[in-house]
Amino acid sequence: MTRLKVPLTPQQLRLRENQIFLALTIVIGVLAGLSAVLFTLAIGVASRAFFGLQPSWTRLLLVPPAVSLVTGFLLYRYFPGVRGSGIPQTEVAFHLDGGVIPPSVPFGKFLTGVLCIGSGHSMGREGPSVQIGAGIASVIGQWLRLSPERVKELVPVGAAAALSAAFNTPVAAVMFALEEIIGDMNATLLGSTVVASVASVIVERSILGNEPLFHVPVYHLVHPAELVAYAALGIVGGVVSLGFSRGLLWLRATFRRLPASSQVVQPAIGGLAIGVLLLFVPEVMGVGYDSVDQALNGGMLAGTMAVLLGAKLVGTTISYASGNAGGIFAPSLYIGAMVGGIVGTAVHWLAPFPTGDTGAYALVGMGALFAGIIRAPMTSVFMIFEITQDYQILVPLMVANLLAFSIARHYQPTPVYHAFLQQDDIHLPSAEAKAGIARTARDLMDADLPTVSATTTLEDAWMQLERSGARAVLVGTPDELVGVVARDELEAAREAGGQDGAIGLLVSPADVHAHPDHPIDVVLERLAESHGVLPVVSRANVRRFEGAVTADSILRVARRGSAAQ
Amino acid sequence: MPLPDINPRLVQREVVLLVALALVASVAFVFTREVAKRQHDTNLSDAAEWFAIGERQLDEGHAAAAVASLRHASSRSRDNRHYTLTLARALAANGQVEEARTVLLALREIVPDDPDVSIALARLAAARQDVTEAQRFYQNALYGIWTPGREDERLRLRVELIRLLLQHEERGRALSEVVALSTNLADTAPAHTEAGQLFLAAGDPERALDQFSRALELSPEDDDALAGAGEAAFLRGDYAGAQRYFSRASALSGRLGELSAVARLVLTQDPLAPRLTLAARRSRLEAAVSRSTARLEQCLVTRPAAASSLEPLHAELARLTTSIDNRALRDQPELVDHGVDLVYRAQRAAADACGEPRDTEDRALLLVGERHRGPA
Repeated sequence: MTRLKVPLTPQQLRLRENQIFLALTIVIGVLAGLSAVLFTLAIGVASRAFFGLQPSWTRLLLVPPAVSLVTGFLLYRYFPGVRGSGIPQTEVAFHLDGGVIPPSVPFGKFLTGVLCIGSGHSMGREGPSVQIGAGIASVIGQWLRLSPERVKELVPVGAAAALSAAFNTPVAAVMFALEEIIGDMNATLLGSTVVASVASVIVERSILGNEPLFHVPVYHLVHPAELVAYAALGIVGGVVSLGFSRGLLWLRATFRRLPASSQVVQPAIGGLAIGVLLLFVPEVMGVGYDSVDQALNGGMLAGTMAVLLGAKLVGTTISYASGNAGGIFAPSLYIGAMVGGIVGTAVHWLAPFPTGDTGAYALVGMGALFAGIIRAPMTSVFMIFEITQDYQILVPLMVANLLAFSIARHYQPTPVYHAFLQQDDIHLPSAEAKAGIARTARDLMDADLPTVSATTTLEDAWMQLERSGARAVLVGTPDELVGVVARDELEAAREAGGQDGAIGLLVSPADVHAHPDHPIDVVLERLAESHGVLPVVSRANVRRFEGAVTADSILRVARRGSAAQ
Repeated sequence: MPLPDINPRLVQREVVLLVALALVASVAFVFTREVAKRQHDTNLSDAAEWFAIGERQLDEGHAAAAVASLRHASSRSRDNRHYTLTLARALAANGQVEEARTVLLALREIVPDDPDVSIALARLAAARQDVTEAQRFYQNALYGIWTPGREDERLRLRVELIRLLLQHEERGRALSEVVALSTNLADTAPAHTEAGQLFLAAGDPERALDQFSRALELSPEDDDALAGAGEAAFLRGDYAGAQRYFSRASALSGRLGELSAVARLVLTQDPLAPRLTLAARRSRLEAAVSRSTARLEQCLVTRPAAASSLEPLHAELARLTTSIDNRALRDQPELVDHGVDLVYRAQRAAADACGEPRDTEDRALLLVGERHRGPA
């Protein structure tokens, strides 16, 4: 039997591409998950190699600066794009670079991240994991020569998969990708990120077992009045978030003001400070989840938590600002757990009502600080839910999150990741700009555009058209739109001597129209097909006229937007 | 009809690349799993090392250092129940009782039927004087899943619970536990003796006597069993039986010696004892009345405020003294009953006003009165 070679139709091509993309998403989920697991393991191996079982004071003091000299050189000479967390760089890759991440980025991030965190810097592994995962996804997309749109789409997919494995929280990872990387909770990439996240977490669990990151007892609201205490925790959390973010930005800006040539030794300067800090408070070394776990279990005294809080704030600020490779995701949780534990202890002493364990406050504090610093409140809620698998703590958590988030946002509108980028002279599209992209016909239309009745003479209609300067005239009433007459048609009929004729004779039905909820791309497409005046009609009754989109109305809206900015 | 074909080059390239990626993923998976396994082994070995350090520090009394070391151990080997239990012990030793409790409760979430975790929690609660929680955890431990060969340990745990309950005057609950204990006893003299002692402490001399009797069947000369049986018989009001047991014991401690003396006096001072001659009965009654009069007078001196209740009894005793003679006793046998009752009331009133009698004779007279009054 002869098989004819028939070219694929666009629909078949689209279907085929979707199938390939789905398979690719799974493979990327697996690879990104593996990279995150390997990254975590490598940090453990490096830390054990650098410090041994019981580190001497000389090791505590000298390992961080010595290793940072090496990483400083690597970061300066070979991998300048992998300093810090990696999440801002991933956002830049997604929003500004079309999803293109060079292969050196995931490799460099892995190497320098392991060295920095493994040598005791007070930083987190999740941010780097996200950058590594996104980088792997992007590199594979480029290698497969996918379309630019698809390569871009793979970035949040890889990021979500890596975070899912790093934290063992697949839902929170998806939320994070949508909330932070894409910046749109309604993103069409939801399906891909979910698939990759699930594939990743399956891989992670099959290697490391289904161990939650923290072992937390079941906590719940002991007394309704405790919500007030949790609200207080939210306020304290907001203030601490603000202080931490500002301190971090200030010290980073200070380091950046130093001569460019000093960048090679800046990580080592930070390393020396960390070495001194470790001599007194070794608990702030690296990610520090052991201490967080202890606080979450109510196993820490308020005084100890206060010391660890101060040390972590100082340590992370120095490690990050001096240009080492590591994130602030884990430090945010650490700081939050300590703040929560301290507030919980105070509430326990002072409250006239029964209160929960300090571990419950540590847990809520962890979420509140995450919402305040990282500015991903939904991720925070889902993350805590996935960690505890107990929804009774969600109400206090949401109260505290909301307050911490609101306070932090009010006093520092720019999120810390975006502020880092602004220090590097990179401006990501703001939320307002993204909202502008999502404008609908309702936002763009002119609701006051006059209509003429079908019995109006051509001459009167022409006069009105001249006054408005529009390219077409709308015929009918607001409740009964009859149709549209283009300026050319009207002019031709008028020149043919029909000035006294009714315009109703010329009118053609408004087949090309938009509805108020149509997005701007649909509106523009249909405006191009129209006579220059696109009627916007109700979905419930297509004859009901709600306004019209014209080039002028779009420009007016655009001008209003730029004036507001 | 020929099927529409798709571009074979495109298919080949996509499939080949995806297969290549899947292969890379598989190799990466195997590699990562191997690294994870090695890291896990290192963690376990580090944990064992930290545990050894922590245990040594705990034994040397450095509880704070032990806590830190044991935390390292249990965070590296979270599944190791023994590490966590020792950590809890170190925390408790370091005065961090609440933290120890939290650690144990978290462990109990994972292994709810593990008796060792419940035992540790019970002991923490007992140290905090929280008897209710302690009893709950002791019960959880007792009804947990015990590995074979630990039966004796389980019995000792129940004894520990009983002693705690007795210490906190929870005699009812203690008695229930002793009953449960007695059903699983080893059939040895020491085991029955201990059970008897616990029954005695819980206020059940009947069952106590059963246990002591069994112990004496197994070991007739067991001094502890003899003393216990004597006490149990005494508490049941069987003073003759008590005397028999006490007399067989080679040595009696101070309290038991007193009990023995009181039992002997009860038997030798009772005017209503059977088979007495009239003279002997009269003599005993006169001695009892005389002793009780002296007791009242002594009490009136120390507690004059009690005169209103004691003086009428004193006067009544004086009247009785004058009316006792052989003839009266022969003509009115009920006079002895009246005398014994009056003596009891006088002793009781003195005890209420001036405290329980210390003198063995007074104690014996009270018991004689109680013996013939029957249950209140």
